[in-house]
Formats: sequence, structure tokens, C-alpha cells
Amino acid sequence: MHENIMCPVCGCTCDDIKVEIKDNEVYTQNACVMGNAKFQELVSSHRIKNPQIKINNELRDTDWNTALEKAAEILVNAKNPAVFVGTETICEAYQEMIKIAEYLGASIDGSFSQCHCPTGLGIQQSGIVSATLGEIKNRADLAIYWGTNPMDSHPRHMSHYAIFPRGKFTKTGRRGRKMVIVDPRKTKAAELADLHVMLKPNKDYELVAVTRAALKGKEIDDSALEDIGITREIFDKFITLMKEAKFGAICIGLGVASSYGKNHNMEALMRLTQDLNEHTKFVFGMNMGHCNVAGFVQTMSYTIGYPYAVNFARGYPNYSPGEFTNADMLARNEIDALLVLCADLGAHQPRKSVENMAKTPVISIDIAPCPTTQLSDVVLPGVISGMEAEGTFYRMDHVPLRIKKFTNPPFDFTKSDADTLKQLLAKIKEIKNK
Amino acid sequence: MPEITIYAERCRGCGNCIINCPINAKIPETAAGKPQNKDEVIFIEKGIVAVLNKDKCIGCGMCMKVCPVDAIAVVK
Repeated sequence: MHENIMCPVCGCTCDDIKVEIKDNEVYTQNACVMGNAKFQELVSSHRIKNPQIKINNELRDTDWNTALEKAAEILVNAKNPAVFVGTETICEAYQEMIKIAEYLGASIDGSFSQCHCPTGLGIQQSGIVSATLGEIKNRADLAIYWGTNPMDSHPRHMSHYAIFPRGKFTKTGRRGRKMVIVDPRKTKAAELADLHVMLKPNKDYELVAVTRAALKGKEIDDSALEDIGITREIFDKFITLMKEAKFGAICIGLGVASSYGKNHNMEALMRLTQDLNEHTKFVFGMNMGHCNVAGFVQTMSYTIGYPYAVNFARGYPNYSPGEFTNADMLARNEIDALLVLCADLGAHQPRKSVENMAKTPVISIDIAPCPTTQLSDVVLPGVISGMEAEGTFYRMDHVPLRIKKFTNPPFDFTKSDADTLKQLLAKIKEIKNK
Repeated sequence: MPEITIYAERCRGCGNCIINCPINAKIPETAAGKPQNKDEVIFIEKGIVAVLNKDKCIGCGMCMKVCPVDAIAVVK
């Protein structure tokens, strides 16, 4: 049994998974239903084990060198190539992808621009008061889940970090903590909460505004609360819980990042956290959906200075969300070659972007067939990071963790996604220098 | 002896029941959110809650109380 394995699925990156592979079966302990499903990929029948290239509109198996050469040719011959980086891979692969983008003068973007992009913009606008999940576990006596249902998106967030575990200064576990859910829906997590602030959809900004006003001692009119859809009793209890907490944590999800206001909601929420620090200690955390989405932002930021949506066509990094974000570039049909690493753009992008993606030469690196591989001209088999390859992951609280490997990939032409990209860059340089 | 019934199709493997079980919580690592899966009453196996040491269950029903998807039932 392999112990203390990190789960490469959601942003929690739980580090206590036990795994055993026996007779082509994977047995896990401590992994949630999402984590276990990912570990089962190791023995799944649909795993891509051979490189593929599209011939007569059909993907056919080929050898590694032919696929690599075809991929390099597509990228070298493109005038405005783009690379897109998914999340379930290691930071070392992100570094190689940045090198490829820089060498080709391509645009580079990642999954962050399609999930917590408004949060990123909010951080740039107001700054963030954050803490690690360890601090939240050991100190927080109030957790506010705003626009997120951890039971579905991060099943172990409550039991591993924020609500139930006994920490250094939270020795009574759940009994010593308060839990608040801010969500228009009656979610399963709301059933466990001490308070459910059930606001109307798209009224997050208004709720933040009245909360900040109330914290500054202003009188809040009944009509404002009516507009938000909550009663005076609920609102007063919400304010009291926040003021009385010794250490509060606001854990936000895509519900608030995607509602009306978007980045302005996030800016306002971060300002609220700053205001709350006049009363007590309060921190703000992002419940990021995928395991290493924070890693992409971190790697980009410390390597080239910008988190996502960067273009290298001028020879230096040019950051412009909206202009160089992948979905927008595809929707405007500006890309003539696309390299996708560990992301299913075909299933997640807007319709217009996918329609144009189908007309664009695409190279994808993935572990299993998906809409993106179906649209691809070259498919390179992916290596499952955290199982077949070791490297660095950043947890959703931006803590770097060294992930381990406990088995080998089912092929020998590459050892990791970083290795694949290294070989691809060498091939690109070889063709370009011919 | 208390009877523990698991409804596997509802369970999401969140582990709320594991951490809150008063018998499990006697193990410091498990109480801190990192189950050891040796002396616990219940544990998570293949993404779903399972019974490990049935004889240790006291039938308090805490696991039932903290499960928002009603995946576990205990009859004393």
C-alpha cells in the first residue's frame, strides 16, 4: 500500500490518500468519490496509450516520432499559434509550455482564465488577505462558504480543513466552529450550516455592499434587504457571527465569481475581508476547482510576471485579458494552430470558440478520449501527474507541494508531460533551424 | 450491537462521518482530518464510506447527523 499520496483532482490536493494496485485493480483509502474515480483511470480501458494523427478525418495510431514531428510542423508553420495549459499536470510542464510559447511567439493561456479569472482580476484591483488551509484548520472558528457547495465541488474541504477537524486552537472541532453558507440554492452543504444566507441570484454585490455599510455602523434600510432577498433577522445574525468570530475565513467559489458583477464582486468581497480585519482576524480563500490551477498562475507569475492571457508575438510578454484569453481568441478565429495540454477545451469553451477550434489545427496531450482529442490533428498520450510522474503542485491556497509517483506510465517514449514538451520543443527548434 | 447501514449510491466520500465519529476521534491524526484506517469504526474505501471495526460502534448516530446526503444509518 502506497501511503501519503496526493490526490490530483480538486484544489484541496488531499495528501493522505492510500493506494494499492493489485491484479489490474486500484484500491484507494481516504479519497472521495471524485478522487477515487481519477485513481481508477490508471487501469481504465479507454486510456490513450499510443500517439495518434488524423488521416482522412480519422485518428489513427502512429509512432511517437511521427506524431512529434507532425505536431512540431503544425506549430512552426503557424503565423499566430496559441498554447493552452490545463490543470491536472505538474508545474514543470507549465515551465516547458512557457518556453514553447516564448520560442514560437505564441499566446499562452490556462484554465484559470475560464474559472477564477474574475477572482484574479479582483486580487489585482484590491489585494488579498489570505491564509493557508492549515491556518484555517488550526485557527478558524467561523467559515463562510460564499457561492460554493463544498459537498459537490470539494467533498473533503469540510472534513479535512475548514469545519470538522480538530486543530491546534480548534480542539473541539465542529462544536467550536460556526459555518455559514451564502448561496441562492438550498445545497446539501447548507443543511450542515449554522446559518444559510439565501440571497436572490446575482445579488452578491449588493449583499457585500450592505454588509460593509453595516460593519461601519450605518443603518440598513429594509428595502435594501428586501432587494437582496433576506430578512433582517438573518442579516443581523450574519453580521453578529462575523463580528464575534476570533478568526474568520471566507471561502469563495465560482457562484460569486460568475454572478452579475464578476470581478467587481470579488473586489468587493476582498474589501469586505479587509474591513472585517478592523473588528477581528479575517481571511479570504479561493475554492479552486482543479488540483493545480493555482500552480499555473504561480508559475506564470514568477516566470514572466503575468498570471494568464499573455502573448509573446512582440518578443516580450504582453498581458491582456480579453485580447489574449484563449476562448476570446478562438471566438474571433485569430488562432491558426493550437497546442492543448491536459484540458478539454471542446467540452468547456463557448460554442463559437469550439466551432472555430474545429477548423483550427489542434495538437492535444491527454490521457483519455474527449471532445478535444476528437477535434485534434495530433494526439500525444498524457502521463497522469501525481501517479505516474512526480513534480510540483500548488494547492488552492497557493502552497507548493511535491507530489509523488507510485507507478510508471504504460509507455516508454515519455516520462512526464514536462518530458513530452521538452521533446516537442527540441523538435520545433530542429525544424525551424533546418 | 448497533447496526450500520451504508447507502453507497448516495455517498460522496466527504469523510464528515469519519472525523465526527467519537470513537474515530480518539485517534489524534483522524481527529485532525487525516484518517489512519486502523482502529476506526468507519473509513473511506474506494471513494465510499465502509465499516472497518463494527464491534467498536457505540450507536451514537453522530455519523448520521453530519451526513447531508443520508448515506449512513445506525440503529442502536
